[in-house]
Amino acid sequence: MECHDVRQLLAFVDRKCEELDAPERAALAQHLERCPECAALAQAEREFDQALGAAVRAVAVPPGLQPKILAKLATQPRGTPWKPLAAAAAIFIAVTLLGAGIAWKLRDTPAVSVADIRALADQENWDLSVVEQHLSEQGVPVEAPRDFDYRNLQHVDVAEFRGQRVPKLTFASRDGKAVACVLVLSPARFRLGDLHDGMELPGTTSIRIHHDRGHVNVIFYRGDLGALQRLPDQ
Amino acid sequence: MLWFGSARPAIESLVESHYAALYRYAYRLSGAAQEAEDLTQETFCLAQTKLFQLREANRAKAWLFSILRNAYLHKVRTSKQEKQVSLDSIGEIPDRDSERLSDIDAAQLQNALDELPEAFKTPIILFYFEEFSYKEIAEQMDVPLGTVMSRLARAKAFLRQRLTDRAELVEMGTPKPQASPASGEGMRTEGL
Repeated sequence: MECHDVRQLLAFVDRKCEELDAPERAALAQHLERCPECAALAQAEREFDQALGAAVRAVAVPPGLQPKILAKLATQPRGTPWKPLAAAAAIFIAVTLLGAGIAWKLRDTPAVSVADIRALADQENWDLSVVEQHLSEQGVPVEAPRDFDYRNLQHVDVAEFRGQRVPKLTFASRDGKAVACVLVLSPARFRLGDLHDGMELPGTTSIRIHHDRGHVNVIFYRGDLGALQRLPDQ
Repeated sequence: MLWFGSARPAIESLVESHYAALYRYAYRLSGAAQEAEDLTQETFCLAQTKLFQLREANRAKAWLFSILRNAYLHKVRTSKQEKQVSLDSIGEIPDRDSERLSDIDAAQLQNALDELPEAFKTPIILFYFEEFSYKEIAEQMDVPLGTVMSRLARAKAFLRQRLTDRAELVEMGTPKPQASPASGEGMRTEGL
């Protein structure tokens, strides 16, 4: 630290020094130890501060001022914390109204029970006609595979496949052990290439190819495919 | 410590702890005993009505000083009584010399303080009086820390010059005319 910097900081020498960090204080002290000129200025600053501080503080307080103040206060109104109270009241009212609103909203809202969930889970919402209608609405009218049990249907999607929009149906057994993905392809748009019925792919996936009323159903599956299909009499 | 809803004992406690310091501060600000007494009383009356705003006991002193300062500024604005002179005569803060200041005459000091605009007087009083830190002064005056440091340095230089010059003049037996607005010095309170 140079003399010029130190002289800017002399005011901090004997203060609480919140404004100086520890390295600055150390550098200041170190400089003052080895620079007699700055040390003399610091001492002069210190003496000036002491003299001025003592003079500024040297004010005689009138005797009897304290009881006079207390007597005056006794005649004055005490403060009412109306703002905090008003804020608390506003919050209370807001919470009450909010609670009432929620209660009103919940009043007509039916409770969901375990029995309801079971009924929904067992409900056969999806069947062949619903799937075909849905695909038709998606712009890919096809006849869905007839040999699957639609209670096992998990998803009906329209997949992008080689630039074509292709229906994709995913079935899964309830125990999750059998999963099948069915692509419904039009022979007019696709040829099967090296795919053939009964192929085994690396891993546990197998391929079945079903020709069904003008469409080719390419089935990728794992597990027991029969668990996903309907019995002939169904 | 929360004093919410129990103003009476707390205000008495505040009076006991701080009335003397507040009076001294008021005296240095106003330069008059009666005005200082009025300001001190007014400060505690205001504090009593606003006591619910004080949530931390360790902020009480700064809070009371702030109330007093605002009361003083209100009076000044109402009566336009503040004597203000420019610090231009000081120019930049001069290099320190090692000249020592001997005993300071109380009247000289008050006269010199009275010449300072409030924006400079308050930092110097708070700095020397109650040893408020720069940061606390900045918070109380609601100005940046650098502004406080600048004002304090300039006010200190002003006082050093005034008190030193007069000490020399008294020794020489020659009174020196005081700076005043009438002497051609304009008023400047910011950017010093």
